[in-house]
Amino acid sequence: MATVSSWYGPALRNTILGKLDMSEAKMALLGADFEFDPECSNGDFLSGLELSCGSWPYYARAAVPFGPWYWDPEIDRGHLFRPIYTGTPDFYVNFPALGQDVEGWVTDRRVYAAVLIGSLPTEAVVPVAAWWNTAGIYISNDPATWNLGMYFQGNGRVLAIEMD
Amino acid sequence: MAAVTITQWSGPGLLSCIKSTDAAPIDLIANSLKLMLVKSTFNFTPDLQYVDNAADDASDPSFCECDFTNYVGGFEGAGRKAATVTSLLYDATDNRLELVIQNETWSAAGGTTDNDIGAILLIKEGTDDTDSQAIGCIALNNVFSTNGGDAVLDIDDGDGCLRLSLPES
Repeated sequence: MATVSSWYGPALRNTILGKLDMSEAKMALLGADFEFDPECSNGDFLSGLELSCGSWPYYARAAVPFGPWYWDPEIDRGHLFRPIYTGTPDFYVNFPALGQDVEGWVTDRRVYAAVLIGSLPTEAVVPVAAWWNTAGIYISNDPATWNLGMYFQGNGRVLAIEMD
Repeated sequence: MAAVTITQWSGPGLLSCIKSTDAAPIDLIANSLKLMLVKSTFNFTPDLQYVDNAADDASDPSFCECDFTNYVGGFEGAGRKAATVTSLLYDATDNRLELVIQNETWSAAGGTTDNDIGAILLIKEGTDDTDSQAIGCIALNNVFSTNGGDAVLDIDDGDGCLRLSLPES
């Protein structure tokens, strides 16, 4: 869904220090007014922007099962990346039945950003990376597209770290 | 020595930083790290893992370690100086993580026996050089030839000596 993505700087720092816990990583979806701040170090901003179950039936943060960190010496000067679903070529983060409601479908609604969430010993919610599209992604009321999925290529380079 | 701008991480070393569950994890802030000098004959590759890789060639830091007058190399040698990490911070302007190490001086370097210094390795010593981990290579802009004067490692405290970019896609 995304057109732009990036790490949050403080999360990368904690990654390099081996402190970031991604064992229970999740993906959150955000509405309009999202502005990426690469220096953001906590998830407080989510509370005002995250979709809510009230207006977005069936919305819940999706689990993102990560594999171990992997270093590929063959790519340029070397990239570190964390593959998602090791051994599987591609990966989707699914939000099943997003927008489905017993009384109908939410219409003309858009998702503007997705934020990957990890945790620290001292902080339960830490933004790790974000994908965003300033135009938003329209959530259709077509039953065939109830599920919103985020597609990643299987090599997991979506979370690459480039050794500068 | 000239200011440093060319640097490279060791891939295995960086992995050991990230993976706190690693058999030999590296904590860039809490661990005692060291700087070792290697001659210009040393050829760094990002897959370097240990200070002594047993190759005894240009890829082997222990084989290429300096031996100029007043530099004592080898495991726990006095020539290997403690590396003081002054900061590891995200630079929003350049969109990268920057590791800054305090400047270091090797006094009265050479004079009788001289070397051409090509690089400084950031390492974490283990029980000997075969399990001492390479973390990164700080290459010099120009080879520094010892002559009995001081050899000063002048780290760029603005951009750091080892960096990680955050690729935006």
